[in-house]
Amino acid sequence: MDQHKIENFLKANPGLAFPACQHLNESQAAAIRNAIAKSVDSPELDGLSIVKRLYEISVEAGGLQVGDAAFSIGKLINDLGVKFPENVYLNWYRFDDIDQITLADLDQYFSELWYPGSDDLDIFDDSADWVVSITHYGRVMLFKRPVRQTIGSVMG
Amino acid sequence: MSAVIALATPRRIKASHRRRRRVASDHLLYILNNPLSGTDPTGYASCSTDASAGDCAAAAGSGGTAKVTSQQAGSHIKTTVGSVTNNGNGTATVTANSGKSQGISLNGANLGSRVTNTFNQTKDKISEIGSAVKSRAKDAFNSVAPQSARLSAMSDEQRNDQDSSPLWGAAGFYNTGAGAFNDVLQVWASTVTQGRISDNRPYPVFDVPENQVRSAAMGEGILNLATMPIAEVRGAQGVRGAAIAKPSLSAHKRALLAVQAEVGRLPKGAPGRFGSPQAGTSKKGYRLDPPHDGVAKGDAEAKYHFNWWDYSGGKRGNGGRSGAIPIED
Repeated sequence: MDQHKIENFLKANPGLAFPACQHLNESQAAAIRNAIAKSVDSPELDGLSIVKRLYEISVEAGGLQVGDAAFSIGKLINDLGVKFPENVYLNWYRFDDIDQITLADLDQYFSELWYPGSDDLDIFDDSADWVVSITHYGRVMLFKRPVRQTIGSVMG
Repeated sequence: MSAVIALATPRRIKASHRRRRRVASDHLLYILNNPLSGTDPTGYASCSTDASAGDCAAAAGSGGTAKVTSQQAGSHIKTTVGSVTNNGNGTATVTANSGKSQGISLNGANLGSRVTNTFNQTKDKISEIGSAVKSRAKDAFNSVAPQSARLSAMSDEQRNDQDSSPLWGAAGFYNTGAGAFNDVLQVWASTVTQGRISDNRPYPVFDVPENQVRSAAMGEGILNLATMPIAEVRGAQGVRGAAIAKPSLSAHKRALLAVQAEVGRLPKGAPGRFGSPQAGTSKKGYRLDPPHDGVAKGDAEAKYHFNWWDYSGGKRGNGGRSGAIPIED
């Protein structure tokens, strides 16, 4: 987590500790990167290719913006119909700058963690089956690994 | 079944009808023209192409199937053109034999030909729109080809400093279109090919929404791109970016001065996550960005623009500031 965000949080919330947040080391980040690359079917394994691929295949969350009254990370993930995770990962760059945090803390302190203009953020869990992306201008994008149904199965 | 009952019921018959009846009774030769003496050896109820599907379904009875037969005027030969199955739940399934669908009637309308025509019209529509998409993609390729070639010749590091976003926009376009195309194929597979009908959805093919057809067309157009040489596909990825002209160098300079008036002049930093040139850090910096999707037309983010931020005094709204400045001629 960026040091200035921690400092800003402590300044704005005297007496309150910054949410517990673990930064992943290089090998942990590499494992995550490979899992996401596989999930989004990225032909390349470098971080830049993966974030581009993720952006390409993600869809808008019904026009939802971060500033909207209805915006809630917890609700978004719940609406995805996935197993509700206790912890989530936050990718701040190209899957080489990743933090782990509880979903409860992320939900509660989102505005203290994501800064508009500078931050494009991806949120996902261990399954790598879904990703909620927040662009630097507040657009919410969703990716969920598709379950492909073939013509053959329809025709029976 | 109702036809059999009609023939077995004595009634006064006009002379003109007697001639027709002599012809009509020939199809009962297998039972010596005495329909009450036995049963249809095929085990199927039957109805003619003049009957409605509802009558055929009624003749078939719940869970049963009625053959649909056609007879040319003046001919004694009957041809089975399909069948109607009474599904027993208020719906019926009309199945046209291959190549003989023209004769099946449904409440006076020719279901077989209607489905066939609609299917062909839909296919034509998709092909037409798909061709248009393909053509636009080619035009876009021609307009961005020089940039594409220039980027290809660069090292990864050099390329990261370039605005390459127009070159990766259409891959998502491809995926979206291909997915929608697959969806429509599934609709066709499950409805059109069987000519399935019900009381609520007599012509299922008409229920395919226009936007799905349009999406499918996009899918087909882009799927066609997949067969293009790779250089053309990469070029075609400029569809989105090519729609917005890149501003002049002087416009960039004006916007940069406005940004620097907000946050000062900062040293070059690591590229943005998608490769856009960036100065400063995540605490205080600015970045040159291409137009973004999903943004209101007048918004700076919908144009080439600089994003800037200064969070050295706190988060946004609490000492921190950020903004976007459009780059316009």
